[in-house]
Amino acid sequence: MPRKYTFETTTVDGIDYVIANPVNETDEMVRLEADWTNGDDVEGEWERAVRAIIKGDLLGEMNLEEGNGRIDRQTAIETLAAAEDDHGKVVSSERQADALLEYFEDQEILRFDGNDVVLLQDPRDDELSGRAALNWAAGIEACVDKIDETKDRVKRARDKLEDKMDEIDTGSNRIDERIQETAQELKALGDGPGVPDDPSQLDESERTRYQQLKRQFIYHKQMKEVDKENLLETVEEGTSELAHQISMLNSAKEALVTKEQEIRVVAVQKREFPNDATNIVENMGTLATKLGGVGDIDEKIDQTSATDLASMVDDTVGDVQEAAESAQQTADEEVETDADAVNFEV
Amino acid sequence: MSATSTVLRAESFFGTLRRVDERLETLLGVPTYDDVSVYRTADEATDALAELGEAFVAAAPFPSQVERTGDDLDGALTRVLETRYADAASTGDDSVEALVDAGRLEHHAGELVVPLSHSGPAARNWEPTLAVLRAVTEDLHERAETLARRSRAVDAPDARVACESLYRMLASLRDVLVRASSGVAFVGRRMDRQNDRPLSFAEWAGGRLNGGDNA
Repeated sequence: MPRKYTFETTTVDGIDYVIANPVNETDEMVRLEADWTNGDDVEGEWERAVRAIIKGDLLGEMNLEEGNGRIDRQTAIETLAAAEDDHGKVVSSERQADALLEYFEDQEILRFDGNDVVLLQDPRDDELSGRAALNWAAGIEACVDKIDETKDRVKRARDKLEDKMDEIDTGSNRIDERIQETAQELKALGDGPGVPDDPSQLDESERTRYQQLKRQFIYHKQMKEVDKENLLETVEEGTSELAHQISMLNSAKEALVTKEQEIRVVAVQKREFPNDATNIVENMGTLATKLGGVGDIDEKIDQTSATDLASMVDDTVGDVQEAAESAQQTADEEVETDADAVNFEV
Repeated sequence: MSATSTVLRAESFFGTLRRVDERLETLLGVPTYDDVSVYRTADEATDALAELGEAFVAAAPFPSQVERTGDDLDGALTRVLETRYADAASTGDDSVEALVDAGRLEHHAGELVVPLSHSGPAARNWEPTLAVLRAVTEDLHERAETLARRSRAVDAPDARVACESLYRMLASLRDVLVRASSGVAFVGRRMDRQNDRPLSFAEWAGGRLNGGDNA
């Protein structure tokens, strides 16, 4: 794809800018802040944009085959233009996103390949620049952010489940209704307003009914008790399981952060890229899908009655478990492939 | 007393429900509900359920701490349970030996039993057992509804109260089983944990970063 812009630097009121001049004269000029390409061996300003694209797109279009992480250029532009992070909007428009990506290409931060933007270049590629290597660190950071968000949701879900446990005692359900019904029918026997004190005073037919209703009443109470015990066990098990998933997400995060630091320090300074980081990124797609699947579990718990809680716990723990396992697997991946480090030129 | 003699068995639940099943069959076949035998038969059925209530209270909570072993024995056990509910003397199919080897079935005094424990391999029997109990109970509940409806149509208060009791007791049993089977199912799905792996990775990565480049 031919270049759309040529770039020149300029200073306005003491601030450095890059002016993207359109090759096609009918297009408009775009002004970019020059510090997008500031950076050192360990960190670069452009990572904010790379992170925003990867995080925004973790669930979708990124192709992670053959050691490269690539994404359709138009999708990358739209994702970047829509992205917001802690500092607000990353770029102001799609036009700015488009110009910025081309400027990054000009600065060897990323590569274009046909209609694709290669954000993560295979570290075995001899032409990988030190700047482009840092994109891998940014990619891992995007993943860690996702894990953090998931962890917060799981924590809220766990807290809410604990609250629900207090409600279980008071929760009404169909068994409660049968207990009430049976009690009413017992009260209807005999002359007095309450349950007859002395069933031997009842006539034979009423005594027979009294025995049946009493048996039924005790039985419903027992079923209620069994149900409550089972439910408490399930919810308790669910909350402790969620706590376990949180710790799995934590250890996955820790491992990923370590790997990120390794890329920043070892890869860029020692010119030795951890080969296994490729595996992490190959797993990011799955990880992201799983993390995305966790959804609004805490809100779902809010809307669940104590009666449906057992199946709610089932679903919640299932979703979180898959995400946590996928995160852990991603973080673990490099343990098995720690053999070769690949040299590259900065 | 040996440890195994205190272990609960699926057969005891099944035996009780089969008693209910037989009474229901009898009751649905009677020509008139205005007969003392109707009350007596329905009374036997609610009595059997009351026994089941006691057994459930003793067993609760049903275990939810069940580690997955990754075998296909749950399906085989379900088939054994279904067959045995229909015919208590049935010895089941080819999978029986595999189930015995896995500790999921046991021989007791020449009889094959399905043990239900709170730990060990037999703890995994709860999930299929609850599922079969639930299916059986749903069927019984449906038939008891027909029975209760018929009993309301005649002027026989004793029979009516016993048939209504039977119907409502089965409803509560079904409610408990529906919820219990979903609760037990979730833990059954749990995978083996791999806590040690990130730790070993952290050590390895730490070694590399500290210059101990062993790659």
